[in-house]
Amino acid sequence: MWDDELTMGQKRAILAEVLTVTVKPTTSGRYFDSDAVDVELTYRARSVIR
Amino acid sequence: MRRRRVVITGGSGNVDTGDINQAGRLRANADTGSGQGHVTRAADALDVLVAGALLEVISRPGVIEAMCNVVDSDDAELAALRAERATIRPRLNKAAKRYRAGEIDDEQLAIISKGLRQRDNEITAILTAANMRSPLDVLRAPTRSSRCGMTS
Repeated sequence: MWDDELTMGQKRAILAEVLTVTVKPTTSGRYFDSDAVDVELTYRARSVIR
Repeated sequence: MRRRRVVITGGSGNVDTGDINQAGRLRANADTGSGQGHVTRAADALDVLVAGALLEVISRPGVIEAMCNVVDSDDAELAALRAERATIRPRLNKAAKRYRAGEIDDEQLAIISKGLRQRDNEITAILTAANMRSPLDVLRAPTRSSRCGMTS
């Protein structure tokens, strides 16, 4: 369902509801470095997910 | 694939050019004037990481229902607000009758009217916000079945 039925807008809305993603600057010069990406539950998600 | 060219002004004052593909992802190629690029933003790897983390969370049993029920748990309070809103028009009319009968003056009527209308706007704003369903609602099985015309 995730790949086939949801629009990009729906996916973004769900993401914003569940996760806060912070991409920090890296010293490696590469844009993407998994160690520089913080993925946290939102306050709303933390309140219901144990 | 059709691409749209974009121009980006970087913090260093350089003008970078890049393009946005149909998926909305930005690929920027920087021109620093020295001939060396200093910005490369390819979000595919980040998208994969984030989507994986998100799917891991919402795949846990009961998570989608719990997230959606955050809104549903406010039903009692919302019902009280709806009941209060239903009283506002009669209270405005009652004040108008008292004004016409000379029981209250212009200033008193204005105070009553302004206060009630302000409260009506507050309640409307609260109810409007509350009626916004969780975006995860589309993932709930009953909703999905209903939307797709399937029987459970």
